[in-house]
Amino acid sequence: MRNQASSSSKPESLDEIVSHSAATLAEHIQAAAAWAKSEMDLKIEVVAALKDFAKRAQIKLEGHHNVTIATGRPDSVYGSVIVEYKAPATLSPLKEGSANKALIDQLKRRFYDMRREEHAPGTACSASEPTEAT
Amino acid sequence: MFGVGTDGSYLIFLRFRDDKWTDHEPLEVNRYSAERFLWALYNLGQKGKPYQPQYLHGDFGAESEIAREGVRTLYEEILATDNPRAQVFFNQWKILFGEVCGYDVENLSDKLKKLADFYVGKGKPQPAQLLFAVHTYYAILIKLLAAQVVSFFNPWMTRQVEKLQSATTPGRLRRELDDLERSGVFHKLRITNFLEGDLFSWYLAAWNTPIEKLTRKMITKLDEYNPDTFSEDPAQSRDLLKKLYQ
Repeated sequence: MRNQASSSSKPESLDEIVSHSAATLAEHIQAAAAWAKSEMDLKIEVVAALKDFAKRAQIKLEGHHNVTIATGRPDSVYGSVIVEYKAPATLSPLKEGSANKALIDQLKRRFYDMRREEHAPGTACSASEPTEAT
Repeated sequence: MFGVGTDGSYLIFLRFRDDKWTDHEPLEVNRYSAERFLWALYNLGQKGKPYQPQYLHGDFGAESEIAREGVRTLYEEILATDNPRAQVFFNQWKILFGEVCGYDVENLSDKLKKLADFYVGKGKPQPAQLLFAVHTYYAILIKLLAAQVVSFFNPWMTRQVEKLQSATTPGRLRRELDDLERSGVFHKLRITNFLEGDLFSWYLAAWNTPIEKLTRKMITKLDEYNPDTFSEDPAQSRDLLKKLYQ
């Protein structure tokens, strides 16, 4: 169940806000992919679009960018969401593509590292960690 | 946890749930894949911990600071209080607990001795009061969680933890908790016979500064959680307490 936007000054429902913001975000990403030369170019565009979404949805997205953890620096972390950017035309439509697999392994490693660094009692990860570095 | 990767043409989503990883085929960047990204951010990317058993266990489980302090406070208060209502509730609980469990709660078994060493330190513990304090601590937590869940799923209601956080004076906090103990939030949803006359509400009759501090601490800790995670991951939210009673 999803809440409705609470402010009466905002006639849009949350579903509408997400839907409209998604269209804008997709446009921003596609436009950036056309000219971007690096993952940083892409990231700057997406981060700005996400800020607009947070403002519109009246939520506090606490984004942390390039924070150092054991195996490197995740590009962006928002709560329990980790975002990694790759240079344009790196990924392929095939799940088994080598770049795709490397990205998935990278996201998993980031997750395990972040869990480890939380040091909170009772939050130990019970899943097997990937052992192969990619 | 939710992972997102993109090169501007494709979005790859990866999620960790129930100790398993799930990844899907890469999706072309379009309004639909972007929508999935935004919902994940809305539900999991906001400030606050997810309502998941491992986090609750870390913050409220037996070895947490709040549990140790909470049980000790409640133990000391039930020992010290001369409030007749609190005493009646305690004595009533002793009878019921003895009937249900079939053993004398005044008897200090080895297990209870260990429990007492853990929560209240050395000395001569009172086993019945100790068990009553442990039960009361978890009862308060469960009531707060239940109220938060039902208030979250009814958008016209103020979220319970937010409401309690707004009660800035001891008297106001007591009144809000009294309303909760009288099933206020549940009655509004026509849920009856949920809390009425709960023996573990004795702490309100014995209300004082240490009890106020304890309840405020529990509420403040719960306020660190993001209730939107209830709806994002209902499977995880279904048994929030499993690590607390295991």
